[in-house]
Amino acid sequence: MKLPWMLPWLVAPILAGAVVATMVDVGSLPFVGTEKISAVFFTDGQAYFGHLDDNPLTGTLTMRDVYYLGDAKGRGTDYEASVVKRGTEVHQPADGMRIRRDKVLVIERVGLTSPVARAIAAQRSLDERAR
Amino acid sequence: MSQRRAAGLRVDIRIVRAVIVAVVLIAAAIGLSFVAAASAPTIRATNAELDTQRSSTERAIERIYATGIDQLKTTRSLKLAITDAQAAVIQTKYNDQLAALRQSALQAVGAANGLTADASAQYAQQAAARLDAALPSSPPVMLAPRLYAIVERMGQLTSQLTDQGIREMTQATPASPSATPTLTGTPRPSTTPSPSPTR
Repeated sequence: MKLPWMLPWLVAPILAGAVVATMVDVGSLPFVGTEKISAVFFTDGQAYFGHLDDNPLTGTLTMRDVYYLGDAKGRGTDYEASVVKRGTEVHQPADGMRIRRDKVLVIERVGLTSPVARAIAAQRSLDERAR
Repeated sequence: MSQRRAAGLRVDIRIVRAVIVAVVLIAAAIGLSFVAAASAPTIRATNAELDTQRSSTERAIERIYATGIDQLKTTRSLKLAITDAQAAVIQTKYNDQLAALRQSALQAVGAANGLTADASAQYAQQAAARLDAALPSSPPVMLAPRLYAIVERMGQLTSQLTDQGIREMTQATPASPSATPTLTGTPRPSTTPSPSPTR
C-alpha cells in the first residue's frame, strides 16, 4: 500500500513542532500572556529585575528597564528593602545591561502581584502622572 | 570576451529566489520582534494602589519625623551643661525645622502624585494635620522608587538636623566669663595699713 504523497508534509511539521514545544517556554513567547519581569540572581548575591533578552547565540544576557533592591533599614518604610530604578547612578547607564552568563546563578520570573512588581507598577504610573 | 563575462555573471534563478525568501524572512523576524517589544503588555498600578503607596510614604515620613522629635526630647531630658530654658529654645527651634522638613517632604509626595504646586501645598498641610492625629493604616507595601527617594532624603536631612540640635544642646557651655571685670566678694589686701593687734 502506497502512502499518500502529502503525508510526510503533514507529519514532519507536526513532529518538529512537538519537539520544539518541549524546549520552549510558552509563557515567554511574545504576544502571549502578561508582562514578563525576570529576576536575575548573580553568583555574588546581587539581584536585578527587568525585561530579559536571552539570546542563546550570544555569551551575554541583556536586561532592560532594570531595578534592584536597596537597603532601607531604619528608614521607617514597611519593608526593610527598597526598589531602586537603575539609571540614576552617577554614570547614568543607558541602553540596557549586558550580563555574562557565567556570573548568573538563577533566573526566575517575578510574580506580578509581588511587592517588587507592584512597586515597579506604581513607579510607572507615577512617571505617567508626572508627565 | 563579453560572452565569457556574461557566462561568469549568470546566476541560477533558484538561488536568487532562495536569497530573496531568506531576506524577507529575516526582515519579517526583525519587524515582528520590534512589534512584539512595542506592544508588550506592561503592568500599571491602580488608583487604589497609588493611594496605598501614598499612605505608606506618609507613614514612613511620620516615623522619621517622630524619631527626630523623640531624640531631641530625650537629649533635653538629660542633665545638660546649659539651662533648661536654653535647652527649650534649642529644642523648639529644631522641632520647628523638623516640622518644616516634614511639610516639604509631604509636598514632594503630592508633586510625585501629579498635583500642582498649590494643590501639593494644600495636601501637605492636610496630611501633616492628619499625621499629627494618627498614623495612616494601610496594608504594607514596597515603595515605588520615586516615593522612596523622598523618604530617603527626608531621613538624611532629619539625621543632620537632629544631630545638629543634639550637638547644640550637649556642647553649649554655661554663660562664659564676662570680658569686663566685676566686683566680687573675695577679700583683697587693703592698700591702707591698719593697726595690727598688739599683745
